[in-house]
Amino acid sequence: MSANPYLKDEERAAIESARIGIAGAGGLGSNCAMHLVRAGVRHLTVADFDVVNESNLNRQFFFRDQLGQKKVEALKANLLRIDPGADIRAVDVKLDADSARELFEDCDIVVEAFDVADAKAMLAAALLPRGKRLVTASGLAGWGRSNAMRVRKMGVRLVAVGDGETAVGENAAPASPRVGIAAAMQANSVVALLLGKEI
Amino acid sequence: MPAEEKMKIVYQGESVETAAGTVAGFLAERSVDVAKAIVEYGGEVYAPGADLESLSLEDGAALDVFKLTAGG
Repeated sequence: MSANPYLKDEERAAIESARIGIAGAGGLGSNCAMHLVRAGVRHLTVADFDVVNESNLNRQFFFRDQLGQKKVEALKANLLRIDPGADIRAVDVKLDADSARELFEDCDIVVEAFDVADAKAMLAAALLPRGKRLVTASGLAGWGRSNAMRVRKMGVRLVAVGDGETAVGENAAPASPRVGIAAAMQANSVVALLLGKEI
Repeated sequence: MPAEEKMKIVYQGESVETAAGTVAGFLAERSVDVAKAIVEYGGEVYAPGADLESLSLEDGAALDVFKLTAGG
């Protein structure tokens, strides 16, 4: 990994020693993972059960020659192109509350990157009562309204990203720019938390 | 409940009046689906499925909700 020359040694150590969990390897998860690895995160646990398909290419960090591959395996391959020494645990699983608690037990922070609202709720209910730090995102569909996207801290362990309103639907397609903004906000929040800085 | 028994709380950063007695009651008034929302009240965070019925609303308290919506 090409080290960021602007980081202090202790900052680099904080980023490189952390393990970050990512629940879902779609638009949020794949792009958030990319940002995290570029930022110097070296230990990731990524879980998803799906395969890369054509409709993912409009916003997810995959390529046409990866169609049909398991998302976690394709994402791992892409992340290793950025940092060949990164430790990426790619777990092909459809998470439920029990498996999420177990899989992310050793993670310092978990990024919620599901697309289904019920799954987002499941993860929050599984992890928040256990004191796990969680960075969740909702309200990221559609176009424009960049200034409606925000990051808010709730309590001491939760960061919530997005406009908090706009669901995917007929009038709000999932699209690369706005999903990407949310994914970058999630990654930015993770790094800030690791460095003890303002989110 | 008579109007004089209404209280003011700060909901999503704005002062609002309500006759609801609990966090669950207030959020039902606002049609918030608490099964898909994270709630912050009194400095505590409540995950979806938490017992909001037993949380009494207090005059002047701050209540914030983050709705979980499809997309990712």
